[in-house]
Amino acid sequence: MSASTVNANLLGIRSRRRKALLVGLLFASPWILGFLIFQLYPILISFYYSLTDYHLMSAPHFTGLKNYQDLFRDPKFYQSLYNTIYITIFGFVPQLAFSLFIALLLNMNVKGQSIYRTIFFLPTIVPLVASSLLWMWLLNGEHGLVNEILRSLGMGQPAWLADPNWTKPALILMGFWGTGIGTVMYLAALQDVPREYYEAAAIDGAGPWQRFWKITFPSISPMTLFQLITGLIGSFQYFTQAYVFANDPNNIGGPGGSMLFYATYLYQQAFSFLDMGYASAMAWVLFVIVLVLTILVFRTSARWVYYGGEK
Amino acid sequence: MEKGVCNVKSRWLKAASVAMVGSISTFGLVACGNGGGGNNTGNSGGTVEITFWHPWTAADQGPINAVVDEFNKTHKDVHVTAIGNQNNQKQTIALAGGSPPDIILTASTNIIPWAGQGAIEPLDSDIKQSNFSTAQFIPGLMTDLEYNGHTYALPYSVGIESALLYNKKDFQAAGIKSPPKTLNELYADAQKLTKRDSAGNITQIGFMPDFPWFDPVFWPLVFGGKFYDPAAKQVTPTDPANIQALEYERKFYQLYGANQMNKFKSGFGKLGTPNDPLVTGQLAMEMGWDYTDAQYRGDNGPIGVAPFPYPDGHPELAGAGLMGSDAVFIPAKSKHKQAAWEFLQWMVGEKPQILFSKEGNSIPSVTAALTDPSLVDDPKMKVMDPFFKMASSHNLGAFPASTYAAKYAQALIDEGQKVLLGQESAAAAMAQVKQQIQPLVGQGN
Repeated sequence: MSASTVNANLLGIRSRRRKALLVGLLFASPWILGFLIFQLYPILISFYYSLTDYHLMSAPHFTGLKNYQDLFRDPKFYQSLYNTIYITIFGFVPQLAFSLFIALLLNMNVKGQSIYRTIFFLPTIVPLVASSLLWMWLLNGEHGLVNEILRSLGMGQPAWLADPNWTKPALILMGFWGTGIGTVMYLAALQDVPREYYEAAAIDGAGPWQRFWKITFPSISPMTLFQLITGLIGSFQYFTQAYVFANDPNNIGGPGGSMLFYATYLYQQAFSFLDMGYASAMAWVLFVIVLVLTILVFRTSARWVYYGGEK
Repeated sequence: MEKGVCNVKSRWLKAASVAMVGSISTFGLVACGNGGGGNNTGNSGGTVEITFWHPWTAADQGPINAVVDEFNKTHKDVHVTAIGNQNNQKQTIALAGGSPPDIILTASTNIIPWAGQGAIEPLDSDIKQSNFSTAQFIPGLMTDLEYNGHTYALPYSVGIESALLYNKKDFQAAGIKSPPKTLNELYADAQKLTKRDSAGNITQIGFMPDFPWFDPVFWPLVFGGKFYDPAAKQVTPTDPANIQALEYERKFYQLYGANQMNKFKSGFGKLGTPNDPLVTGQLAMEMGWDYTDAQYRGDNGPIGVAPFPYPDGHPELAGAGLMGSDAVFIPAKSKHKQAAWEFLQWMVGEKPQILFSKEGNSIPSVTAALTDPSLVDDPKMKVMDPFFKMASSHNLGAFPASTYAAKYAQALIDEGQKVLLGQESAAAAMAQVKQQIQPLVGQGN
């Protein structure tokens, strides 16, 4: 084989590859263009807007870091951050534990297993706005079903949606209803845990509690990590349920601002006050907060997440 | 060989890029088609076609359609097409997008913020050329519509919140002969009109200071409060009257208990229906707008109307309350400003406004119309009669319009609610508002 034929072959392969690449890019171009125009551009321009005074109808006016300075002096920024952290710690974290608990139950070998699994997943299918509206009926302070039950048990009946001390617990209560996806994902992870581990542990005399902490929990820890990170991000974008519960565009934070979450406050700045500069600054601060939290979770994950085949 | 491939490739690329450019320019054409829509409605045989946006939905647009029809019948040079259901959001988007209609009706509170952004055409030269006088309007209405010495809009139908509405049966049952005249009487009557069951739950409530909503403007006005001092360029949420107003509202929260009251409130039916708490008598007294439960008022209706009580010892504050109007303006990017002005000037006139008021039970913005026999002597308008009288009170006021008004009002709501709940003193809450809002003054924010 002469050097020139090798060269020609190589060229042929290279140009065929290049052609394939171009065709591939062409087919992907609707998505690429969509991403560039509707995602990347807005993301980048929002950073510029965060440095301006921009109210939509006239051109943005550059103000440097003023929006950020105002934000860190804004008591409602801290209030919304507090409410968001509250719903994350007392809402999302227990709900994650709850979905694991339900997944463990659903993983037991009982009759009618698939029916139970369906039942626990069903509420997740209902759109968030619809289920929030439904829960507003259930949690009605005067005639709601939840309070009817509490009354028949002789317990106190809070004004769930009107009392600032009870609005967040009301949202958290509703959240437990929608843990179906987390449960199904945990269930999938549980079914991946090798049976031999449990058999070996049983032979060694490990009880159920030990089996859970020494085998189950470490085995499904990658799933916990995944749910923790996606859940944290979702929790910091908490919006729909609170907006529906507040039920008043002029008082988006609900009674005493108790349902003013970070995303609802951002929405208020952007669409009630048309203060796009301030809202953009809030969006970037949110990005930094979520980024830092995600990095922290990843850093600590080395200590408690185990992947199959690794130590 | 390599050259050939390259050619194929470049043909491919060319085809692809042509396809892409083609599709992009199609988007461009579509966009142009939308933007240029106004041009289709240009001159046709000497008649200028203009588009008029208003926020009323199909159920409520009868009155405005009657007015537009009347204009089209009597005018040959301009033809108006009215488009309803164009709410705040749609108006904002159209103004921001640069393709607004020729003329828009909106809430008066939008005018100054939008004018501050350059989205509204000043009416000064039109007013001057047409010898039009804004003095014909009810005093005070123009303050929301003027900014930096320019007039940006004219007031249309007026809303007034200065009445005490009450359930006549509840009054009879409690042995109350006439509605309260002062705020102390209101408080005393509210106690007489409240009932509780054996467990202490409220079953009928006399008065709620924040129903149908917490009103951060009405209450200070009742006490003669002020929101802004133009001389000092200072917002004045800490005005003593504003603080008294919150303390007075707080008294009802202390009387009933916030949770008791809010729980009872969550059982209320829909406003303006037979389940409206004021109609059913669950609520005995309510602060009322001219439109509140209109169909249940009058001699035979279950609801009576009285002027809202004034602070004890201050009869000079009688008739105080909140007044606002709809406003009609011409966007800076309107394509037919002259024709739009012709329609605007006509529609805010006395006769068209009386037509509108009679069709829709509303209050006209022209002072002379308030006593016009064709309006006030119409038996159909009897339920509006008390409000036509209230409309000429000199104690009616409004929240001062500004570019930061929405944030100011929101701060008053947020902090005011904390006072009602007992989380903060009225003085501390209003000081907090001052601290939040004062930096925005004069900033063009």
